[in-house]
Amino acid sequence: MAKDIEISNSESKFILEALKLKQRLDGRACDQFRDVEIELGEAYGDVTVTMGKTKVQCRISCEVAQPYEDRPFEGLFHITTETTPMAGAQFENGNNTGEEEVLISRMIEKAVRRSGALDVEGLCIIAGSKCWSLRADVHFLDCDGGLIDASCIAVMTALLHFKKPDVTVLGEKVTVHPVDEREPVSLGVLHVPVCVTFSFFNPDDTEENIKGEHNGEISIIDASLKEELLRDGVLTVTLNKNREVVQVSKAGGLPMDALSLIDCCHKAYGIVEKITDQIQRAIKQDSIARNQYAHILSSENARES
Amino acid sequence: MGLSITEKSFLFDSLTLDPPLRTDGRGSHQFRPIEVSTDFLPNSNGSSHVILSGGSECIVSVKTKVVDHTVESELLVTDVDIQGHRDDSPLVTSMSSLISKLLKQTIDQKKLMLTKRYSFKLYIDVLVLASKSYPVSMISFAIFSALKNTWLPKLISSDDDLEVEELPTFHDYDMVKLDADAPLLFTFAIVGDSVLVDPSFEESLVSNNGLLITWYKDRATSPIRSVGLNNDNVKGFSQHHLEEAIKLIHKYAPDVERALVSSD
Amino acid sequence: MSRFEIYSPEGLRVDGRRWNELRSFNCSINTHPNAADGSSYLEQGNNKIITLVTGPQEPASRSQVNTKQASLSVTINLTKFAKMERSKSSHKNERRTLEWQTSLVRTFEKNLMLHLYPRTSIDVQVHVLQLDGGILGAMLNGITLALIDAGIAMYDFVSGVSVGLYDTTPLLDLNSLEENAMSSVTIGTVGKSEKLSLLLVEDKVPLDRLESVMAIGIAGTHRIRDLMDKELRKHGKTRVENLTN
Repeated sequence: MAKDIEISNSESKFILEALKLKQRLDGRACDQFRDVEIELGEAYGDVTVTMGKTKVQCRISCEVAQPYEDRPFEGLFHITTETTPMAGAQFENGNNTGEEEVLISRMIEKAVRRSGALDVEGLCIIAGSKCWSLRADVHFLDCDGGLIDASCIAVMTALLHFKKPDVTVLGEKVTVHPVDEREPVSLGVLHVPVCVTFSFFNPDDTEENIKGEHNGEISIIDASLKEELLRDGVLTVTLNKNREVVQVSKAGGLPMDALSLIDCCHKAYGIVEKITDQIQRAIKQDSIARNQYAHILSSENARES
Repeated sequence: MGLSITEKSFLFDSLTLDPPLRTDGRGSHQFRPIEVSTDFLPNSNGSSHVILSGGSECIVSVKTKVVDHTVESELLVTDVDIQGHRDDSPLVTSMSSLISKLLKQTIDQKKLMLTKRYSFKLYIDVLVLASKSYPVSMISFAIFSALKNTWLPKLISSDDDLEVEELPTFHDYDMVKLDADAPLLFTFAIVGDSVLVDPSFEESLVSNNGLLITWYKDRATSPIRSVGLNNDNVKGFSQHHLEEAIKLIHKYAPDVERALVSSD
Repeated sequence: MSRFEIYSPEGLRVDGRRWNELRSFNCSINTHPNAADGSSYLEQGNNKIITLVTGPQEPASRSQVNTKQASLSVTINLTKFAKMERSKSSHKNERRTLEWQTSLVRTFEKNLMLHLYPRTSIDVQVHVLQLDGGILGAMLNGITLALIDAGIAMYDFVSGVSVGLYDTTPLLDLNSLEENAMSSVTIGTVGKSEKLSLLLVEDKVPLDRLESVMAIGIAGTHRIRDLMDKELRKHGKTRVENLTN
């Protein structure tokens, strides 16, 4: 186990006292999500997401493979998360069985893969024998909290951005057309789940938290690393624009009032809406930039739409 | 949890008396009370739960599946899981190889055959929840009573299906009892010149050697082997110790077997 | 799904329950007095769970010593024979099992007075002998009972249950058939309060339905808490009687 980062007593006390006054170290309000910066790379499916000092890269690649026997009509889709000491000293090289690592990768898996965000049936080439195997590699480049939120945005943007080579099927024969020969095709993304993480702090003692009536727990959105280290409880909500809760995970930690949890979900929805729009905008801008000569080459007349 | 040198020496001395004086007042042939319950897992075809009074506990589940025995010739799968020991630890691997070998020798695979093509495949899973002393005896008792209480679905289709392509069909609720005899294993501790059955944890600590004897179909059979019950003061044993143990087993094993059969 | 109707128009479920009914709930404590310091046996529907608690005891290695509070660990043993079909692999190192273990540890860390037992370790083993839906909730109940039996100080009961959402109707305490057919929510409540220690939604649920699902879940956990409390008091009474006789 790599050495955990520890915060000095005076600093942790300062942060907690400030939180009681609804002040955060970086000057944000308690329910303010950091500004998200989405950078799309040269290749399809290469996305870097920056949130404050947190930086996550996602790269999508694909190859032709054989589908699972029990699911002949579905392609393969895997998400791998790579934690290295590059992201922070708390991560160990080559060890993905640490508590934190397992939770992060399970969460992304549940948010994106299990919720059916990607249409895996669209990855099928020939039922039972050939399909696309899609792989999303998530690299944590820098960690200042909010890894789950950032990676989820990165994976979803990358899936929207990625284009797989076109194929033609003639009987049993499959031809994969290189990208420079034929225009590659986009993936079928069914919905865009976005994660929002809340952190809870208990200003009173445990007794008050469990038996008390006044529900004085402090909740903040999108904690930074220092806040993450000090928090008593965490709630990750994954939603999409269709007002569907894809996944909620409050795995233990500070007991919280049910109504305030519901309230968190509603707050998260506002943020999800904003981020989904931002993702869509970034994808659109990229496709316009890639096709800057399209309007010259096109023989159509400009139409009023 | 160990014993002090004085305690060990006291225990050793009293166990080597003639007749031996055991701390719980048992005779050298006496078992501690064993609690057996069966058929408590509706998802399994047979199950048993054995509790020894020392706190050792074991659960066995027998599950079956219909397989084509022309393709799968292995009809018995045993798996041993001992709490607190890794699956690749010497205790678990030795225990599971001993038990699976023994069951393969003793369970008549022909009795598992349903038709000329299909058979029942038995999965015997052993879970040792806690073991204070050498667990093999307890495991064999649990497997014995689980197999004695295993119920299989009754075949209603014809048993000759080599010519016709037909999957076996079963009666909706009638069950047949599995006819399988499992061996019982007995552990003895040799302390000085005394041979003691079912050694407790403390007795194992002072024993000079341990003996493992198999009882199957009314006689003591192989494997008969010595087991180290502790790591220090291990000594060899002489022939008459073995004879004494076999004599004990011939005298008392039928009682144990009867008790286990009637326990359901 | 032609033979089974998950929720009939008359308002009956596969096993004949109504939407707000729990499965049969049986529990007992101190079932393995010699094998562990605290133990419980729990049947929630067809789930059968044995929980063993050892501790507070000296940690196995020096590195586990925490000078401020006891270190809590939970090991889940999902036996190979627990499901209808025997599973080939032991589930020990699956990520799902690791996630459950972490969730359970984090749930009980906040509900036990661990600061009373510094430099010790408390180990919880959960053996799932039979699995039939809503297992995480059942494990919460089993662990609560075993911890109480072990005499470890805690603030209040933690009780858990799963709730599903079938179309627009929330269904309490799902069995495995129902669990596979709809999205489910697992809720862990502290005592008789409305405070949730654990909340897991694993499939899609409309945001506006979440509140009604949680409401019935909380009511369910309160009922389970009462059932556990009744059993504990009964057990305590017989123990006192045995002592005085």
